Amino acid sequence: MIEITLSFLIFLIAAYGLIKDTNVVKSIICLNLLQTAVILIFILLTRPSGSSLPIHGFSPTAPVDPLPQALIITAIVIGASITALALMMTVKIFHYYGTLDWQEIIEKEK
Amino acid sequence: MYYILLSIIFVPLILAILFYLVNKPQFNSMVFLFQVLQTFFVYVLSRSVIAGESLSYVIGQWPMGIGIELRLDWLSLIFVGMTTLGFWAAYLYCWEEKCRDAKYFFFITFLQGSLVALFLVYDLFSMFILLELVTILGSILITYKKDGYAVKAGLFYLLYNSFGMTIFLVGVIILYISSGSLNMTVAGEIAQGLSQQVHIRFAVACFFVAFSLKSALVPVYTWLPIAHSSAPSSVSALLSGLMVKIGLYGFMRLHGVFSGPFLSQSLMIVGISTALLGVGFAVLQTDIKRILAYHTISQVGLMVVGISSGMEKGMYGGLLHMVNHFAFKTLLFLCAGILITNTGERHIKKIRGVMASNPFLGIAIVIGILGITGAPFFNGSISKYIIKKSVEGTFVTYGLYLVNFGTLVSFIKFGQVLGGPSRYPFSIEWVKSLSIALVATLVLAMFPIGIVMGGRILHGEFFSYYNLLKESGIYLIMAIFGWQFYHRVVDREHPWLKAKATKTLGFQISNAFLIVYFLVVVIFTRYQV
Amino acid sequence: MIVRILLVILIILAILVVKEKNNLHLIMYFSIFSFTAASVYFLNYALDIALAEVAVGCAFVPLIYLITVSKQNVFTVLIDKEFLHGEDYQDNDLYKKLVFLLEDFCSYYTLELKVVTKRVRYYPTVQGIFRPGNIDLIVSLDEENNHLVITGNKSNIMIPRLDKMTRKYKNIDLIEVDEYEGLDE
Repeated sequence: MIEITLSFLIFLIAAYGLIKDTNVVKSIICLNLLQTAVILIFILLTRPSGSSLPIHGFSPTAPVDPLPQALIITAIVIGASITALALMMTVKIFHYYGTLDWQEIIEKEK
Repeated sequence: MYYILLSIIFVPLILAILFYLVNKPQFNSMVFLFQVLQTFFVYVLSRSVIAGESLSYVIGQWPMGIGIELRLDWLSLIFVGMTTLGFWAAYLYCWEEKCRDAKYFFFITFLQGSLVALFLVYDLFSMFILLELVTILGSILITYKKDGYAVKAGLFYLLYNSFGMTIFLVGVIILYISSGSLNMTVAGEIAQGLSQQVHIRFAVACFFVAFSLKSALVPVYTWLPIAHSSAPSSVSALLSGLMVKIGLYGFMRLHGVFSGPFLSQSLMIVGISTALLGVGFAVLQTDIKRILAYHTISQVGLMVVGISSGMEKGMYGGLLHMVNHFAFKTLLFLCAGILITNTGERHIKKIRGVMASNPFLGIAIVIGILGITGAPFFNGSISKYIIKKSVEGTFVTYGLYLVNFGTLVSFIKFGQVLGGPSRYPFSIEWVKSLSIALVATLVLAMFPIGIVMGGRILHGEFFSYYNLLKESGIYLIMAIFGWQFYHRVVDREHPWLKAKATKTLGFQISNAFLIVYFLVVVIFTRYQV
Repeated sequence: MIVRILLVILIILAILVVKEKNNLHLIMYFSIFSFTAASVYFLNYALDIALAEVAVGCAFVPLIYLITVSKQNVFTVLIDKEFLHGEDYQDNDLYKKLVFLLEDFCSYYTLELKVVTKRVRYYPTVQGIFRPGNIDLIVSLDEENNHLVITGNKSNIMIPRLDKMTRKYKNIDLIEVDEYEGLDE
């Protein structure tokens, strides 16, 4: 229970980081932290259902649920591909605008 | 039938990869052949759904409840049909410029496959994966122009929607752990049954926030004007026509979860404020595509008002308005794209003389304008009438009248492109005019379909002549009053108001809105549902 | 017990990430965060997730962040060789003053100056040269008045700053080229 609260605290700190900063690269890192925090919550929530590795016949105690593990690997890979795409767009923005500050980029329109 | 369902998902994906590997321009014309095949498959599938039974198969023939299930019922069929028609219009529109570009066809065919898959799957985690895939592909297509404005818009869209999808994943996790299954029916029933527990309410709050971010409701709407006005025209039409309604599709799929009295009331408040705010901003804009983007926000608010009214006719009214809005918003965006390509201007006061130089385009724009404002004998009026009927008796009706009035005023402003002598030669290639003719025919054909649907939904109180005459009378009075209002009030220069309205909110403020919205929804659902 | 200690370390790292301003330090903190998270996954019997997290978070993602951040310190200047008479342009007085000014400018804003020489074949619109070649500035010589003409992209934020520095020199003119929103294709 206390571990889930700690992970949720990481979620809130990363969300605060998205609000406070104005650097594009830091926003993308905070988004990655957010996704890692959610995966931490998932793993800590499915832990009490078992206490050994999800391999058949490995140990006499009940194994942990293997289905969430497949879902989580997919979520990690999706997060990595979004990071790659966002960084590619950041490089282009730097070449056009010379700056990496959200307020200069978005609010100085037309 | 099972193989037909699999093929409408996987044939676009395989064809997209083939487009990329075989890099020849002659091969790109296969896209039309493929689209004919896709339409035929959707027609074959629709015959069995209209006959009354919905299809449902599990991939790999696993038992039901364990495998990934594909379900085609009437709700999915409407969206799959809209997808097919929307992509017909997009392919025909962008064929002339992009016939040599294999990468563009790779992305857009992949997008079609993922959208069709999104509307067919019936479990929560596949929906998460496909939503992320649609977000990624949408942002790549927005930045396809390689403009400074387009890359900004694509980055904002990508990061903001990823944040929303992370919140959606939290909800999916909590539902899975409480119910042990990812199937939407099972999870929805468990969420309804156990809705007294704190963590189920937290999951419902997460879904609420994530779907309202995807469909750009107040206060998380700021990504939409930037993204839709900086994208290429065919992509703008697809975004406004289809991808904005994914959030509403999510609301309707899980509507058992969202039908508690507190949540449906708060959804109604969010909907009506979205509609009013969208119209209020749209009246003061000067860029063509931004006017249309703010109107998308306002019409989506109307659909949410219909869905959340708690009555069955409201749901059907919202669904009918979704199809109507898809038809005329696609038409208006494609016509706006032609206007911009021919004149090089985006400011609405500088484009004039469409009707004089190209009557076909002029008539198409007139059909679009009459449709969206809800003129009698056009399809918009039927769906707006059904939505009005479903919220009768509450104060929301006054808000709806105000929204209709605002729509009329700003489309009178838009309609100024038609008048005047022709300064620019508006020339359209024949392929583009085919796409515009297709969508215009769809708009005109929705009117008889709308009458049939209206008769079935409202069962006779629809056909009272007194109500229909009253609605037409109200429309004419609002049109005249709106014209005067526009000339006297809106047409003057109000520099302070225009600066406030055309200012775009930044990334930090949008994230702050999202966090505050999330915390407010979580705290309120803690105490009542 | 160990899991709680590791989670507290993760919280401290997250607070450090929010407070840090240097881009390269952020990448380092992110790698350590990812590695610690992978060890938490390991202690909760989720081994394949730990492998995936290490591979993605300690190898792939910091690599692409490093590539991105290292491309952001470069300021590219294109010398229009045709107008500067072939090989002896480096002795030109105005040119030396310009190079001195540019190096001063770049060291003030911690950028790295990169000089490229090429023939300018078409009028420097934004779409023409600035975008494909990722160039920030074009320098050419106006022979009648003996002025150096510098052309820059108006929406690039370095150009107004350069404008302030060159305003006091009468022999250097700065032209700003605007970017129009492209016709949509």
